[in-house]
Amino acid sequence: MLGASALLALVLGAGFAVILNELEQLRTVSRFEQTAAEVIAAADRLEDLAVGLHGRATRFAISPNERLLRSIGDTRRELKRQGKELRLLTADPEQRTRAASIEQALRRYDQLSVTRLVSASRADPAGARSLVRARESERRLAGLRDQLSRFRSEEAQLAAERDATAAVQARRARLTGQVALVGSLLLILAFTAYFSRAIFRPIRRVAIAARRLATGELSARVAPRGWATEVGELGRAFNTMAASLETNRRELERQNDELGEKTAELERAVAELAEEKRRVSLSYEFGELLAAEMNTAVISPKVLAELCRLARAETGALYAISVNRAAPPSLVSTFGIEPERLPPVLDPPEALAARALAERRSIVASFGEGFTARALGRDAPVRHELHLPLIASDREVGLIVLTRALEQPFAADEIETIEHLAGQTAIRISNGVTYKRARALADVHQAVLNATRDGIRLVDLEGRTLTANAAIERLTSDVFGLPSDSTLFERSAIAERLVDPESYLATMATIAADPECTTQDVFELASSGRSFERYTAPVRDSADALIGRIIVVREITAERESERLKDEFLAGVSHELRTPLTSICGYLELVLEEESGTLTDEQRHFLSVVERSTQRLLRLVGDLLFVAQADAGALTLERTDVDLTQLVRQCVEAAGPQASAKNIGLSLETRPIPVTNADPARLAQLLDNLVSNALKFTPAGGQVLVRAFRENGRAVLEVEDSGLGIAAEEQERLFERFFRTRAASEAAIQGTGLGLSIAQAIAEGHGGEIGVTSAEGVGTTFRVELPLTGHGEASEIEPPRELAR
Amino acid sequence: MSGPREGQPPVVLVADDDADIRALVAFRLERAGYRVVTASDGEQALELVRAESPDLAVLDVMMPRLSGLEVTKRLRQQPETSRLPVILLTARVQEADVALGLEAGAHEYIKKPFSPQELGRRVQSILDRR
Repeated sequence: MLGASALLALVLGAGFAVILNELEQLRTVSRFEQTAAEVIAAADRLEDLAVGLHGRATRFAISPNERLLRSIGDTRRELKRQGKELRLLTADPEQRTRAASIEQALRRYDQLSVTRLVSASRADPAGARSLVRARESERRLAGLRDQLSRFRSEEAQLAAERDATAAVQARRARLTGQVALVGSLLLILAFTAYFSRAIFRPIRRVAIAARRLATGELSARVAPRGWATEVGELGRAFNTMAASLETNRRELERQNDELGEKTAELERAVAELAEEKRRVSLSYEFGELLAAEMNTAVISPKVLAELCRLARAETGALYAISVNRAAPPSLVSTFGIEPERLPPVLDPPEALAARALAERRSIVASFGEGFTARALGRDAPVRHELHLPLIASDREVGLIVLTRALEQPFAADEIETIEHLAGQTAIRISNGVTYKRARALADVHQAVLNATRDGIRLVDLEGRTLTANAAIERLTSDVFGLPSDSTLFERSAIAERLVDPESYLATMATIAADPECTTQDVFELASSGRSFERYTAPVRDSADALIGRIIVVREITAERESERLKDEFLAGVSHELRTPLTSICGYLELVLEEESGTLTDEQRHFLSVVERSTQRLLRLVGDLLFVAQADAGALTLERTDVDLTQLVRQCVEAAGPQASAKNIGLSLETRPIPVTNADPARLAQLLDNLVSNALKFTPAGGQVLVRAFRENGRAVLEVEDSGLGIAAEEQERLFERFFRTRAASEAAIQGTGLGLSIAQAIAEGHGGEIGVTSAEGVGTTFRVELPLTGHGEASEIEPPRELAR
Repeated sequence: MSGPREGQPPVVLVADDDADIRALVAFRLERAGYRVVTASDGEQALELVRAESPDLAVLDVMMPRLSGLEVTKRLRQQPETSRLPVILLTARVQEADVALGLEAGAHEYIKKPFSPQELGRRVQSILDRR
């Protein structure tokens, strides 16, 4: 398009330029013609002037006069001026040369002819006349006139030539102008045609499409013709725009549709919300009514009445099921009907009620007109019955029966609402029952606590009382004289009234510092001497969170007293038994040492029997006292660092003579045992008992092997004999007090039946244990294991060696 | 408390509520060459200490009125008797009792029943050390 426009402009411009050029040439030619005329006129005037001057000069030469002379001067000046003018007028170079030569010829004529004539006429009039007669001046003038004539003819010829050229040029210019005009017109026509086809028509199409578009016809498009041009671009852009508009409108319509749907949805939701709100408010009001009944498991007639009102039921009945479900549902409350007219218990449950409970869903029953329920109807005929099971925490708690005389049956949404309310009722009944049970259980707990003789108090982390039983309240106020609402720590004030305040306060400090600690202590009131044992321990709830501390206080005054009495009794018995034994032993010694005279052999033998029996009696007394002490928990260990291998060796050595006397091989085998913390006297007693047992129950010629070694971090002492052995059924009872094996009794082997029981008490007192393995006729091995609590080095390695035979 | 008297046997006080044991100990010690004074209870023992100024006292722990332990404590409280050697005799064999006796200031603690000869040796060794 741009190219086409530029081409058109170029062609038109070129045409006009050609025409202008021709016109300019024509104008130059015409100017030349005019100049040529002027030049010829000037040449004519010059010739006239030259002829005139010659005449005047000739006349002056013949008859000089001043006036003529003046005229000659004027002509000469005029001639000069005209000569110059001719030269200036002349345009053609050749002609100008000629004009210059004419001017020169004029000057020469003036000087050689005119001036000579004039000068001669003044000085020599005669000579002047001769000059004139010589006709030289005349010849000169004729030459000048020839020149001028030639000039004129040349000029005329030049003008004629130019005129011819001008005519040709004028013709050409006319022709050119005509051609340019026609060409321009054609071009304009062509351009217009092109313009119309490439621009106007497409634009029109676009405009038409735009008008269609404006009327809402969004499918309007421009036909794809002449797409190559800028207008094509416009069309394409238009089509794109139209397409986009159409897409947008479709999208808008879709959104509109969606909006419509959403609006409808919203309206539905609003309606549902309104329904929900109605139900919630119903439920809330109903809940409030229920809440008023918190403290009773019985749903009052008011609640049932409300349910009937909401359900538009004329009558209603509520049956509750007992907690343990042992009894059938029993009538709790009625509405619109006297309770007497209804069965007090549903036993067996009425068919519909039973189904509702069994299937755990509401059951609706409708009857034909005129049906009058005997049980539930008053005067109005019952048309519809609704049986609602009451389920709470997955347990049937009761049943509600509602009846309606209205034509309309219970609608689904009504049933839904009623079921919801019934569910609340069920929960409330269940809660009421649970609450009652919890109350009952709490009462039982409190009763148990109150029946307990020990004082029990539960305090929170700040020491405030959560629960306390009657015993501790009594102790706190009556015995300790403390305010019962004080905290655990405030009650420390009792310390100043105790025998040992420091230890009491130390316990309190421990509790205050560590809420997780468990404590046990004993305190004694200085004034009355009453003693109390106190145990405290952290208490956690079911989620294992620390909630406080339990304090158990027990009066131990009586126990302490009885303990003291027992100690006294033991000491007394010990004293009463030993004192006569002391006399017997002492005097026997005096007699045997012959302090009171010489003894016969027989006397000495008899007395030695007395002495042996005395020693046995003494040992028995010692063993009895030991067992009594161990029973009383009074077995005290004098712990010190003990070299067990050394101790075992000493025991074995001490038993050597006894073994030798019975011809029993007694040997010892030890491996290193680290020094341990133990009571050496007690351990020696233990080992003595085992070794002397082994020797007693091993026949002559037998073997007793004592071993001491370390195993699994414990010290092990073993006494192995090749004796009678112990029957399997007797092994279990071996450590019982006073138990004697049948073999021992039959073989009349001496013993009290206390040795092993003492050995066990000692082993256990050390945190160890004692055991036995035995086979009848083969032998018995007693094994004692003791924890190693020392830190010392192992004793020397001792190879097995025979001590006695 | 004076040292052993020149040319005279040392005096030993024997206190026990049991007359037989009193006689037994006295017999044994007199045979060993000591002069023996006897008391049958704690108070009497204290009186005899004042009256006889013994060189050593053998006291039974369990005696009426004042126990042997109590007598020992009182002796230790008096300057003139604070260094009197005391041997306690007792039928109580608990270690705690032994500790109590030694705490009270006894030199020896002999359990009943005892060998009279052994007692004699202990007495002699204490008196020899003085």
